[in-house]
Amino acid sequence: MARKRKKKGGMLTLLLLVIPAGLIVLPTSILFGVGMIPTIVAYIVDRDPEKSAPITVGGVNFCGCMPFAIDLWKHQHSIGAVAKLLGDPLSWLTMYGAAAVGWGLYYGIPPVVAGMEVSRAEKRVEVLKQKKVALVQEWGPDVAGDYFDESGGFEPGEEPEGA
Amino acid sequence: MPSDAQTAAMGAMANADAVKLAERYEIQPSAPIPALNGVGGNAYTAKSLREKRIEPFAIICHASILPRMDVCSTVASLDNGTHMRLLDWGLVDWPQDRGRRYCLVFERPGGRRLMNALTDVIDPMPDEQITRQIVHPLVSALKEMSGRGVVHGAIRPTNLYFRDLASGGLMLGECVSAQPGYGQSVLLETVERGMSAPAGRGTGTAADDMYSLGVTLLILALGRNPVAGLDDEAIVQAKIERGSYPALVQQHRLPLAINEVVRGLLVDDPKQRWNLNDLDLWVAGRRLSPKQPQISRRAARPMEFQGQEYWHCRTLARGFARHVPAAATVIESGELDKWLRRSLGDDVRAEAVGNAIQTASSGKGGSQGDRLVARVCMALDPAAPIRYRGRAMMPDGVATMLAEAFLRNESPQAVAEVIGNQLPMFWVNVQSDFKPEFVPLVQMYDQLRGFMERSAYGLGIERVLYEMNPTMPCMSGLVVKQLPTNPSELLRALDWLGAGGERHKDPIDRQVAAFLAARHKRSDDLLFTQLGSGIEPMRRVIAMLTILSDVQARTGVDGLTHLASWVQALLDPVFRRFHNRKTQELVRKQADGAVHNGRLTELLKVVDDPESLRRDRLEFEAAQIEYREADAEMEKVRHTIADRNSIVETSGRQVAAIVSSLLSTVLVAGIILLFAF
Repeated sequence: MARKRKKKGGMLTLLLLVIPAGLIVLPTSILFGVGMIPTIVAYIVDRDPEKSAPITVGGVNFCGCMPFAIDLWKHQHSIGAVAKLLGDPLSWLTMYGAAAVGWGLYYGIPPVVAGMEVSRAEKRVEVLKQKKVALVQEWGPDVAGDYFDESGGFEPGEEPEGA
Repeated sequence: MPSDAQTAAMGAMANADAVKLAERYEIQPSAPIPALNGVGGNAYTAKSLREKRIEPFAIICHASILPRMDVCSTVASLDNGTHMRLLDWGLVDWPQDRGRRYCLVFERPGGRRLMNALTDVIDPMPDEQITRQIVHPLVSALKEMSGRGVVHGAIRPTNLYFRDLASGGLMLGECVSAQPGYGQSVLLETVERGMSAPAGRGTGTAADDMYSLGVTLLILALGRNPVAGLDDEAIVQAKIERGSYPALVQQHRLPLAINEVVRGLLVDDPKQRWNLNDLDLWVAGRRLSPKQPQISRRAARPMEFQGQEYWHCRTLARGFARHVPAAATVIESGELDKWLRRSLGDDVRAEAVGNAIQTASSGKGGSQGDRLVARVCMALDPAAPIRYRGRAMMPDGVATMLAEAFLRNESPQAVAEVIGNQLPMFWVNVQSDFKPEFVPLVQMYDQLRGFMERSAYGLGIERVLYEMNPTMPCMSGLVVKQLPTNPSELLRALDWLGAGGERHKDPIDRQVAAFLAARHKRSDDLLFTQLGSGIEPMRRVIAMLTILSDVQARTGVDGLTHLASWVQALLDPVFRRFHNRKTQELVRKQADGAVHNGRLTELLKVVDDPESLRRDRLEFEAAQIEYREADAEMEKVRHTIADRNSIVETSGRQVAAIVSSLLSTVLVAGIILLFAF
């Protein structure tokens, strides 16, 4: 309850700081507000408390928006300039394409990581299995005690090869 | 008609080579001398390998008889021409039963045996000849024996030999091939010893030899057995009822001089009987007044029992011993007490019987009736032997009785119950005269009862057997044919057995354990308790090896390769104590080396090294922990990779976020550089 209250307090502080700042740099805010819609969607749809989807999408999405923001800051920081930029389909393609790349990363990297982790774990299991076999060969099946199971390689009383 | 086995044995003997007794004498199994056969064994031609002048013969003892090996050295040292000279003794490999037998080598008498059987009839010997040829020389021989504490126990007409053909002088035959009194007819034994079984007569005393001499003189003076028509029971009964002298001499007329000595020697009371000094005086010509036989107290009215009338305690005790269940009824009804107090007027005896009845219930083993009657019989007739379950034995004959039971492969139960029920102690308690020899007897039986009450290996009746019979060979079925008489011989016998095919058994059975416990006093009794069938095999084998190695170390018997190999074959559970396979293999190899050397101590050191075992145990425990840790880690890893989605959703997404963040950072930096400047 206290945590929820603290979170609410934090959000309020953020709004009090962001909204005035956003109003000050309104054209930039409009650009990012529109360009980062995929990130906002990602934030909303991601149920993970770590919020890895908005982080993954958001980073690349931000990169997609960044060139237009610089262009805005360099030439004319006005609502009209923003409207002009938003009127160009290439801008939309760039910003939302970058977000798509972010989504691509979000969906593409985890299976690769899982595959690598499983492969590494299987190698470790193999090493441990060899270690157990070596112990049984050196000390006999009694070394397993109550922990002797079929995945360990040998049934109690069964002599391992080379033992 | 001889059986096939007997025919085969005879054939084997006829073709058998000569056997040697310690490279000193050679015995010819194919040349028996039936004329010199004794009660304890048969006689065979022998040849001295060192001294050619001696003409010896050998007695090969029967397997079922225990010779008196304890007195052999004393008898051999007797320097008397009137006793058959014992030249040598020991064990020989006997071809007939492919085992070892006791062998006794004697100097061969020049002449024949005086009487071949007690039923023989010879010319009555004149008193002058009896005095000169028998009494005179025998007194000196018996004096020498008595002086060395040896009882002859075999004085009889059939054990007298002519020393040579020319002089007609007689010599006394051997007395070591059987226990004292074992070969004696009831006729030649005192009433008490006559009531005992031959094996239960005990060592006896010099007074018993005097009695035998008296009967021998009587037979020689008459030229025949005066009671040849009577069986053993009738002879004993006649001696009890009338006294030995009247019962044996009857109406026969003896020469006056001989009559006097016979009367003196046949007195039933051993304290009144002539001793060697009296005989010496008689030989010197001094005539002693004849002693009147003492008649035991006769009851005013007889006691009727089993259809017979009994006037004396002694005869009644005999009757009771023959009909135990009926006797128990009479005793328990109080009829006996009444008869003793009213008809016999012997309150002391009645009290002794009362005490016997009271103490009978305290014993263990056997029936109450057996115990009761045995004790009451002793109370009624204190001098008589212990009579229990049809067996009669003197307290000093219990040992030989037990030995005979084992030698004949019969049940020792009755004798065991005699000891367990403390009957010898009771026998001592009812004696009217205290004798110094009772003290060690009581102490011995007290100790034996302790052995009897425990049935562990090294104790029980087997231990009693060896404690009571110091010359008893080990009776284990494993080695009995080798007749090992001491621990070193036992080790050699086991080694010999180990070379054969008997390895399916343990080298230490109950008999071997008891034998070693009795003969190898330094051994620890606790070790023997580890040999029981309830103990785990590993501990049993270690205990066995410890005992055998201790005996080997103390006896110095070397080269027991077969026995060591036999023990090694049993050591598998001991090798398996070492968990480490490499250590196990190493220990097996070291054990092989120890076996090759035939050293049990070395073998024990290898398989029961506490330091190696401790180290192995510690390392094994560490290995167990290592195994458990590996197992736990493997389980954890397997559990982790079992849920792939979880990896995707956790670390996969995290990695994606990190990659994205890094990529974004680089891109932002690039974009700023590219677009801002």
